[in-house]
Amino acid sequence: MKGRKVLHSKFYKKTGETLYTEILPNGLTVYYLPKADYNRTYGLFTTNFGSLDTTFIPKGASTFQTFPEGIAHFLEHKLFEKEDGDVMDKFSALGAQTNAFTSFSRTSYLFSTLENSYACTELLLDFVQSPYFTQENVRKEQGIIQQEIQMYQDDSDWRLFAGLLEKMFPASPLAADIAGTPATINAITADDLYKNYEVFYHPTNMNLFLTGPFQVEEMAAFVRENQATKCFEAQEVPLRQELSAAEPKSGEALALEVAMPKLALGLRGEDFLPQEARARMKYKIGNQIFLDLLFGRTSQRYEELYNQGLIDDSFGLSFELDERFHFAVFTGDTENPKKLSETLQEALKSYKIDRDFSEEHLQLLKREMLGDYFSSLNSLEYIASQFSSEIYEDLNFFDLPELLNELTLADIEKSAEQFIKAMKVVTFTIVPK
Amino acid sequence: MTDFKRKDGVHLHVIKETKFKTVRMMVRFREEITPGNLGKRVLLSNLLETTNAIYPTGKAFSRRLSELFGASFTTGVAKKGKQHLLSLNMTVVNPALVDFDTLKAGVDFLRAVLFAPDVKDGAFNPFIFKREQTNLIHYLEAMNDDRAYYASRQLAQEFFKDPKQALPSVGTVELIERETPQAVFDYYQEMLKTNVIDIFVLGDVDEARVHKLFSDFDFAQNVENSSFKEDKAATQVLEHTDLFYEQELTERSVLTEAKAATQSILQLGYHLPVQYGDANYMTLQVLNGLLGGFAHSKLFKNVREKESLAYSISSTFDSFTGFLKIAAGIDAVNFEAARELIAAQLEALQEGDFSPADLEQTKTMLRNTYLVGQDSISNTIELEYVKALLPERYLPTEVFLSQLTAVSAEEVARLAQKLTLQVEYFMKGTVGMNEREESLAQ
Repeated sequence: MKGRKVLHSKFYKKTGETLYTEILPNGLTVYYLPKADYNRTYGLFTTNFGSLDTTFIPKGASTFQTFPEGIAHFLEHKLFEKEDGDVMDKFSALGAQTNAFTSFSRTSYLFSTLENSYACTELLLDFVQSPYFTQENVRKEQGIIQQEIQMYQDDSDWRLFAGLLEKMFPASPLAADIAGTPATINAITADDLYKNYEVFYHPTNMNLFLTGPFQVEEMAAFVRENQATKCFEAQEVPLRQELSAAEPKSGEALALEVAMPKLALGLRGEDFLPQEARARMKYKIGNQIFLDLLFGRTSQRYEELYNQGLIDDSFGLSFELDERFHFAVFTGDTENPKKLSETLQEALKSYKIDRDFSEEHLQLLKREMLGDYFSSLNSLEYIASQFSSEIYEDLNFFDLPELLNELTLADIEKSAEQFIKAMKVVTFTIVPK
Repeated sequence: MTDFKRKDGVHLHVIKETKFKTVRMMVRFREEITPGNLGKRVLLSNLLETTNAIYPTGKAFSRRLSELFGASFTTGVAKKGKQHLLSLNMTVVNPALVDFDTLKAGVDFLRAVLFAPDVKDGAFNPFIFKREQTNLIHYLEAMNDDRAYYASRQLAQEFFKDPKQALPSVGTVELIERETPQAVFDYYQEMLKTNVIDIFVLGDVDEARVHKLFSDFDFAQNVENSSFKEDKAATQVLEHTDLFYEQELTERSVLTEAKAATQSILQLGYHLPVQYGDANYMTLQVLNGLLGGFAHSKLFKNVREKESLAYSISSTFDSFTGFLKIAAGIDAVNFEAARELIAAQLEALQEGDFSPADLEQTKTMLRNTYLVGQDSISNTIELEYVKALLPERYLPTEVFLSQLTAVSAEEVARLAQKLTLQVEYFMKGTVGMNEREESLAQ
């Protein structure tokens, strides 16, 4: 990526927002979204590195090496601890709140503050860019993370989703808990953390998103200067091992102390994703709309299933898409998981003759999605997180209204057909003990 | 902010704010917590959220909201001290963004929800009623799957000596099971007439227009009823004792129970002799912040960060019910150590064992949280609601901030000494981390 010492801007007339973008000489991509009438500044610093990246070629090596599961999340926790204390204290001293999270493909660090926005931005950049790992501080974190894992173990909806992933992508990093297990995190060493850090926490693999009532030119100059004082060796794009999973295992169940059975129906994507950015974004939105047409709250099918008592308000669906995997998932509490699963699968097979798969219904959903888009602009966190996860080259979250407008029923049928023809169906159930 | 006091006693509050992309409208019904009405109110919150005479199927209801550019309509129940609140929330996107009068359409939708219920022969549609009653019962049963919620319920039940106060805002399975379509509809008519009703509208709106749009909402409120005193023109008076819950100190109780869970939960309930708006209310805010309200607090720093004894730990309080709680997610094997260390944090505060820096930091965080809350629609409305309930006790921004600055270390320590532990609840998780449930093939 070439560095451009210039702020690119794009004005979105409808909402009156302007998005500024800059790629720094060291490769870091920065986004600024001024919000003059908001009280606080929100910053999100993200690396394209997550729980899936346990196997890669370390710096100076020539073969793949596998690290313990949960290492990306562990690293996220550890980055807050420095030789002179906890970074959280420093943010608190500035009156700011801070947090971080790890997902399959990304790790993000954030701050939210009323004042001292420049000091917070500097602290965010500096603490993420100066790792400090010792055997002692690694050992201490293991206890805390173990409890985090335990907390999620008791969340039956989390167990449902995690169980489905395990059966849908067996023997792959997707089957593992993002935080790992007590055994795997006990195996993590400070040296491991450095090896991961130096490959993935490089500016070329990261982006910064800042939004709030600051002056863009000033903030941009500030960020440029901060980054110019640091030295990053030029490096290759991280070489990650391809994601490959074993055959899915459908029909399994887990007994837990829950009030009602829970069904998770997964559709593992096996088709090849469009490579071009616009086409890929349309493929993703298209399949999301496809599922909403057939099974969303405005569909006849939802009405029937709800009235029959096969689903209730806990019923939900989504389409997840990442470079390395894509799948659809339906979850919900139900007295009859088998019947619900069969009904959903039948509907998918016969979508072409489904009365909800219509132009009229599509227009209705487009209206809804457009309104949702505008409403979501109220939330700085939401905008920032969309930017950290939904970037396809030059296309981003703000391009949604335009893409939505272009999407036709024929487009949606094309991507749905492509997905359905190749997909693998997986069910996983939680039953009361 | 413009307050319209309508002839019928319903209070319309319009807050003009240009920074949001949406307009929020909330209609809130208030009455004293009454066990006999609780199940009815919760059922109503479900019924009103699904269908009505104008949109008689869930599909029609959802479609109309989609047509209104993804408008959202939700209901909710909550408690504020001794009062029970039932709220209807409508959010629409700004008309200017979509070239469509979403504001009027939103008000029309609210009118349909409130005044055109799906009723036949003086009772709610029996099929819909049964379906919603069943779903609600399942939902309540499933709530106990959330261990932290379950633990909080156990604590509350033991702490509150008045059984009315111990009831959760969502009622109980027993209270919901016994209701009928007839009884709930009869109650609904009563509720429209006799509850205290507040309507809030927040967004980029014209106040006079909003007033006009709501003018034909006929709640049939009886202006002679006890909730509206004609001589208090500006406000509806809520007696102090009708809102704030108080109870005497009691013997400390200790409860332990085993649950099939991986994580154990320890919760402590303290008697709190401070009410919202009291002279030492801001001291309470600072005390809670220092104890377990922020990442730099004693509980977080010492129990979680230093000793790794808990992943989640915090303190919260309710100044309308005289209750302060410390909650921690721990490993069963660390129970004694965690309990002791937690008690030690409160002792430290009681002895004034905290630094001026910590005190300042807490005040800064509180101030910032307060000011940042102005970026939140819900937060803004809730503050306005408290102002409507307690106009004399309400703390406007300047007062809140200056009282906050004035809080001294001595005051914090003195207040900490007034907290009295009443209930200790320990939910012991019995599932070991390495136990994997047996997988069953279907």
